[in-house]
Amino acid sequence: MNPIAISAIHQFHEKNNAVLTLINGWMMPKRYVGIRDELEIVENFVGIHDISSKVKIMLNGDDVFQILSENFEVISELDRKVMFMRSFKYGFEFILAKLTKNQHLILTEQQFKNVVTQICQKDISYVDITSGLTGIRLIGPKSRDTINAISSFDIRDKMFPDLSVAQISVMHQHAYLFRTDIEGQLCYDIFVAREIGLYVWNQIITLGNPMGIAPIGTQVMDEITRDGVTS
Amino acid sequence: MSKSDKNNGITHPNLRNTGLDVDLSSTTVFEFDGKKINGYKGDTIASALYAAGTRIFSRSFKYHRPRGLLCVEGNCPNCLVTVNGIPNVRCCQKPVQEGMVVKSQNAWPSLAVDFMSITNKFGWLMPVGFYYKFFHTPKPFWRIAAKIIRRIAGLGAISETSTSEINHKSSDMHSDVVVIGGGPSGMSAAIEASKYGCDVTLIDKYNELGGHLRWNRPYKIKGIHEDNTLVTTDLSSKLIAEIKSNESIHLLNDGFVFGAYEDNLLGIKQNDCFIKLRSKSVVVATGAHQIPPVFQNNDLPGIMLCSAVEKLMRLYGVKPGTKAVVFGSSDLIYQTALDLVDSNVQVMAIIDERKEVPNSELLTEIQKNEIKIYFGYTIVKSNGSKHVTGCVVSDVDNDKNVIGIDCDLLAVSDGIQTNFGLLQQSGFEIEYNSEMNQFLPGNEVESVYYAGRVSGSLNLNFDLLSGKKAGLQAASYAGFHVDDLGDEIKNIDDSIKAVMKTSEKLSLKANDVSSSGKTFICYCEDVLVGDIKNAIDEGYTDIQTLKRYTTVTMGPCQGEMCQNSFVQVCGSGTNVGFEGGGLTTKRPPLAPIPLVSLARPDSIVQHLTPIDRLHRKSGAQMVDVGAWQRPLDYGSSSREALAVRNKVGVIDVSTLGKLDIQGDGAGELLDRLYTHRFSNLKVGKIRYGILCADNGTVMDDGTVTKLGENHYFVTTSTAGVESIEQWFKWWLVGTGNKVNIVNVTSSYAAINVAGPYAKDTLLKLTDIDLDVKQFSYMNSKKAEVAGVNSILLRVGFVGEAGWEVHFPSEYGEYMWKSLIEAGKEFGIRPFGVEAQRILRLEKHHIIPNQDTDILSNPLNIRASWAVKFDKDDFIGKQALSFEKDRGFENLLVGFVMESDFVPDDGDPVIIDGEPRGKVTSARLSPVIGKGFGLVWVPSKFAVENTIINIRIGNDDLPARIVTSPIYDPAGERLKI
Repeated sequence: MNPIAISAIHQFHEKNNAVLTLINGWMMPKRYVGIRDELEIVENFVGIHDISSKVKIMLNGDDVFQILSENFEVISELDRKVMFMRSFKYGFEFILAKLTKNQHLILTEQQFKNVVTQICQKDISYVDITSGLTGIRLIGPKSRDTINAISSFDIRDKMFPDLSVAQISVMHQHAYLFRTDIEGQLCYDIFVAREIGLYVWNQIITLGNPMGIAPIGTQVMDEITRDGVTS
Repeated sequence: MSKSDKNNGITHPNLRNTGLDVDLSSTTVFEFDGKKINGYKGDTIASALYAAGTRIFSRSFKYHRPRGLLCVEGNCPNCLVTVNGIPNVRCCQKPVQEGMVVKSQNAWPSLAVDFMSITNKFGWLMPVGFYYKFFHTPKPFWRIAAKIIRRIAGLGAISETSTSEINHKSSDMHSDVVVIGGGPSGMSAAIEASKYGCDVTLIDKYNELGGHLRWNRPYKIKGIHEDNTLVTTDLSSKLIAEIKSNESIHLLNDGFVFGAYEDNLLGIKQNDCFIKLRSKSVVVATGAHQIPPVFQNNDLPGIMLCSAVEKLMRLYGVKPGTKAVVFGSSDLIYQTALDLVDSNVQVMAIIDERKEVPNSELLTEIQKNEIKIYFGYTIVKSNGSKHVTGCVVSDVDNDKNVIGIDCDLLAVSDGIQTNFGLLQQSGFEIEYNSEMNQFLPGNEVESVYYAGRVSGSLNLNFDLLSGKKAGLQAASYAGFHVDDLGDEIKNIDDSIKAVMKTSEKLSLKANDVSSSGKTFICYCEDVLVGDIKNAIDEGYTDIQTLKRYTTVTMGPCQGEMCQNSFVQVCGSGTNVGFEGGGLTTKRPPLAPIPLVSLARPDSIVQHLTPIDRLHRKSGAQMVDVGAWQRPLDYGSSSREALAVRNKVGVIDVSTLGKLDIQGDGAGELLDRLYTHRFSNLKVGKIRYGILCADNGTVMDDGTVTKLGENHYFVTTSTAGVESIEQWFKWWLVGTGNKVNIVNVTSSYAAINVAGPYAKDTLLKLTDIDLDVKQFSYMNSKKAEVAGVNSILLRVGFVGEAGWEVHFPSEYGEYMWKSLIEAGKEFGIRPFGVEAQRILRLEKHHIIPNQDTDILSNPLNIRASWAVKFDKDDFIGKQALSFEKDRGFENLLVGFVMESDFVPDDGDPVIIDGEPRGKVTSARLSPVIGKGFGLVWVPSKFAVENTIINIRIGNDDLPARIVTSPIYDPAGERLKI
C-alpha cells in the first residue's frame, strides 16, 4: 500500500461520483459531470474546486522578500499583497502573499515544494502548513456573490482587487482569502483549517445554491488556464 | 364577455379598474379558507381578497372581534394570515402566487362565525393585566388557565410539516452610502451621493420606487422647480429613471431594514434572504405613515386609513366601498375624497376636525363636486357589528350636536407618525418638538443622516431638498470629496427655510380621548383606552411601565399604529402632556423576522479529524470534545481498555493541540511559560510541562519535544490550543526574542499506539529501532512509518509502552488502516475517549479543567516535581512560592471504593456530615474491578489508606485514599 494523500473533502468527491486522479501523490477530482458542463458553470455561474493539495509554506521574518528575490523574480505587479514569482534557475512559478509585516505565505504546486523549502531552509524560518489547510477555489462570475453569502468581509473591487489577500472570518472560522483572477475570470481561493474543510465546503455549496454553484475538477481548471475560459 | 365570465364563475363583486401594480390580463388563482380566489399578477393577497368581496381578514387577539384591512402598509395586525403553512404573514404585503394556500387564523370555526367572539361580551372579566391578577390561586389552576388562555388568544400556529419557506438565505453586503427609503427624499439622497463617486445602496421596502408619490393623488409641484406644471408622478418617473440608469446606485427592492446596529450594520430582510449590510454612512428616509383615530368601535371592518384606501384604488384598481365618509384633520382627506369620487364611490361627507381651512385648489375641487364637508366636527363612533354601516359625528365644541351618516367605508386619518425606529436604534434621541408638534430626532449622530417625511414635514420640496442635503453629507462622511461642502449645505438650508414657510404640518392632537365602549388604542393586543386609564389609576404612571403592564406597542405592529395615541392618552391621563411622557423604545427587529433567517447553519461547526470517516464506518459512538468530534467508544470501553493493557490499542489523538516553536529564544521562552525547564532539553528528548497563570493556577499541560536546535514541538490539551497559542505570543512580545510560533494542530494527524504489542505493530511499518535501549521513554525520533514521514513520541498517557505517531493530516486514513492491518496479528483494537479516560485515571494522570479548577496549582495536584523553583523566573512562580510556604488546604489524590459502587464525576466527599471535597473523575477499573478515581480532599485526609465517605445518591459510601497510581505505580510497563 503506497501512501495516498486525500483532502478533507475527499468523501464529497466520492459521494458525488467524481472521476478521481492521482496528482503528485494526492487523490483529486478530475471531473464530476463532464468538462463541457463544468466549463459552462465557470463561464456563467460559479465553480467550486478543491485545491487542498497546493503547497502552503508559512514564512516568518523581516527579510523574506529580499531573501527570496535572490532566487526568484516578481512577474506580476510589484507592491501588491499577492505577487507571482518565478524561479531564475528552475523556471517554475509560485504565489507569495504578504500576510503581515513579517509573515508571508507561499502557494505552489507539490512538485516544486522541495526546491522552495530548500531555498527557504538557508535563511528563513518556515513551517509547511500544507496538511493543515483545506483549499477551496471559487471561480466564475457569481463567485463574489458566493463569498458574500459566507463572509462579511468587504470584497468589492475597490476594497479587494485582483492580487489581494486577507485573513477573514468565514462562518466564524479563521480563513485566508486570496483573489487571483484567472484569464479575466473572478477567482477566490479560501483556505481554512482542515478539520472544518468539509463543513465549509458543504456550506458554501448550500449557500451558493442560488448562485448556481457546482463542483468542478482539475480537468476544467487545466482547460481554463491553458485556453482562457472566455475564449 | 363580462368579468364574472372571465373568472370562470368565481364571484368577483368589485370590478377592477386599472391598477398601477396589477396586470389585469394575467390571472392568478389561489385558495383562501378552502375557496378558490382569482387575483391578478401584481396583486397582494389582500387586494385580491378585497376585490373578491372579503371584508373580514382576521379575528382580534383577545376579543375575537372581526377585523378588516386597515393600513395596507404592513404595519397593523389586521391582515395576518397563514400562507402555505407559514403563520402571521401580512397579506397586504404578500404577492399572490398561483396555487398558494391561504388560511385565516385565530378563528373557529370560521372568520365569519367565530365562537370565541363570545369573549367580546365578557370584556369586564378581562381587564388590563388580568393574567397578573387572576387564576394564580390555587396554584394548579394557573397551569390549566394558562393553557386555555394561550389557546384562545394569540396568532397563527407554526406548522410542523410545512417546509415551503424555510429555505432562507443569508448574505453580506457593503456600501459607501446606504439610503433607506425609496420615496422622493430617498431617491434624491441616493442620486446626490452618487455624484461624488460613492457606491450607493438604495433600499426600499416596496417592489417599486416612488414611495407615497405612487398612491397619492397627483398634483402640480410648486416651489423649487421653474416648471410649475411638473406633476408629482412625472417627478417620480424622472427620479426612478435616473436611479435605474445610475451604475453607482445598487437598488435593493422589497428590502425591509429591521434593525440598525453598531458601526452602521443594518439587518435587512429581502423576501427569504437575510442581508447584513455594512456602510460608511447611512441616510434614513423611511418617511411616515398615517395612523387611525381613536373613537368607539374604531376597529370595525370597513374603517381604513386614507392611505390604505388610496393604495387599493391606485395600486390595485380595487373599489374600496360604495358609500364613504372621510374623516381627518388635514388636506390629505380631500385628496382621498376626490380619489373616491374618481372611482365612482359616493362620498357621503367629509368630516374635517379643523374649524377653518385656508382656500386651496383641493377645497375648490371638493366644493365643485358638491361633497358635504362638516368643519369642526369629529367622529364619535361607528355603527355595525361585522362591518361598518355608518358613523356618528359631533361638533367638537358641542357634543350634543350629533349627526348620523350611513356608509360602508370610513376613510380616516389622524395625522402621521414618523418612521423613526431606525433613527432611534442609530442613537438619535426622539424628543417632542414643540415647533413641529411631533416627536422628532433631537440630536445629531455621526455618519447617520435623515431626510423627508421622517423629519415631520409633508412638503415635497422639503423631501427633495433634505434628501439632497443628506446625500451630500453622507458622501462627504464616507470620504468622498465634495467641493465647498459648507456653502452647498448653506444654500440647501436656505431653500428649505423658504419652502417650509408654506408647509403643512400633521401634528399630534392634544384633545382628550373618549374611553366609552370599545375604543381601541392597540389593535394588536386589543387594549382599550379604558384599559390604559385603569392602569394609570392602578399606579402605572410612567410610559415604560404602562407599556409593559398593558402590552401596548408590544404586538406585531410594534407601536406603528398606536404609539402616538398611546402617548396622547398617557400624557393626558398623567397630566404631563406629550413632552413629559416620552416615548417607548423601538428595538430591533422593527418587523417580525423568521428565526430561520437569523439562525444561520454555521453557528455550530464540528471539527473532524482526518480519520473521522473511518471511525464512523467502524461504528464508533461519537462525542463532542471541545469543538471536535471524537469516538467515545467502538462498542465497549472496558474491552478496549483491556486490549490496551494486554495487547495493543490505537487511538486517534489528532485533536491534540500542536505548536511549532522556532527561534533563538525558543527555549528561554518555554522556560518562562512552563513551570518545568526546557532550555536544557537535549534534541530528541521530551518533557512534561505544566502551564500556569500568573496566580499559579493550572492552565494547561502537555509535552514539549525538542526537534532540533531552537526548534520545539509542543502539545497542548485538545480544547486549549488557540488560547495557549495566544498566551505564548502575548508573553513573547514582552521578551523581545525572535521566536516564531505556528499552530500546526491541523497539519498533523496523530495516532497513539499503546500496549505490550505496540512495538511489534510499529516495527512492521518502520525501519527504526524501537527497542527501549535505543528509543526509551520520553524520547522522540523522526522516521518513516508506512512510508510517511512522521514524528514518533514515546510517551505513556495511558500507562503502557506506546508511541504517538504524528504525521501529515492528508495521510490520516491511510495511516490508520496501515496500523490496524499491521496490528491484526497482535489483536489490535481501536479505543475511544472513554477507554483512554479509564486508562489514564488508573495512572493518576490528570486532565486539566476536568480534574483541576480555578484553585488548582501544580503543588496541590501533587506535581511539584514539574515545578523548578530554581529557575530565574516563570509565570506563576511568585504565587506558587507563596502557596508552597503556606501549605495546602486541599490535595488531589486517588481513591478506590470499598464497595461495588462507582461515583459520578462531581460527587461530594462527606466529612463530619459536611461536603469537604469532590470527586473529579471516577470510573470502574477493568483491571481491579472496582470504582476508583481522583478526588479533592482536605490535606490531612490525603494520606494512604485513609477512609473517606463519598455521597452517591443519598448514601455516604466508604472509599480508601490511594496516593499512588492503582496500575503499575513504578512505571515499569512504560519501559518495555
